[in-house]
Amino acid sequence: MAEEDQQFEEVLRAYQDKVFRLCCAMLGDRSLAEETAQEIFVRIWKGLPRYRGDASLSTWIYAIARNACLTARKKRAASREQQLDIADIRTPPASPDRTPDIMRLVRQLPDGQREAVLLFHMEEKSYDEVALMLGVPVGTVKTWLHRARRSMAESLMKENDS
Amino acid sequence: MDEERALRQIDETLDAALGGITAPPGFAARVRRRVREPRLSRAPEILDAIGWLAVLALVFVVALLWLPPGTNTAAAVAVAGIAVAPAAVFGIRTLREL
Repeated sequence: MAEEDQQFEEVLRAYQDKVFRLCCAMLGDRSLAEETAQEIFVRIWKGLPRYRGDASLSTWIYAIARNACLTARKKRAASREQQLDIADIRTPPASPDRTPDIMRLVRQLPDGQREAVLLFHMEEKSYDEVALMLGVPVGTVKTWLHRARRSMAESLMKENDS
Repeated sequence: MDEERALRQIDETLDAALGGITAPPGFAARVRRRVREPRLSRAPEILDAIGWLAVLALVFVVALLWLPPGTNTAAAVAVAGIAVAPAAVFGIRTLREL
């Protein structure tokens, strides 16, 4: 196997799940996330020979992934027919009665907060990893999460009281 | 319901719904298939771009020849540059997308 192919195999193995999760968080649609994640790895494969290591590999990969997700989001918005359905990501085994409500609350959050919340729970609650993936400082992730959790908790309390 | 309980419920629900998401089965194989597809040749686009640049250059030369004597050619060149630059930028972006 050529060195280039071997390097790509290592990247694919190490990042396929993380890139897929980033796509899920940014696009909220599993099939579009898979399509976009495939496109991201094609771009990585094309760009790998030119990668000089100026930024860390993960920073470079996540930058490609974010750009591809933003492009996919724009394309979807342009031909928007299907509704964003984060609940489609997975049907959880526990507390199925509360899930649609919580997912609806997540869906109502602003983009940054929503992506931070989704990635935080997908990435085993690592602030650093979420910050790296979203390309923002750790402090911003903490602020987004704090606001998102407060806002969702308030909505949930109001709904339960009424 | 108090805030602490609401937050706990949110955390538990999201952990259950989102924890452990991985790429779908067969994802890596599909990516490998895609990257091993033969790359499209860029030759037609490059030849197309050269052709259009030649046409533009020709039009520009003819326009310069038809200018009345004493016309400020520097201004004409600047205007032509402004017209051609965005086209060149879009052309390059298109090539990069291939």
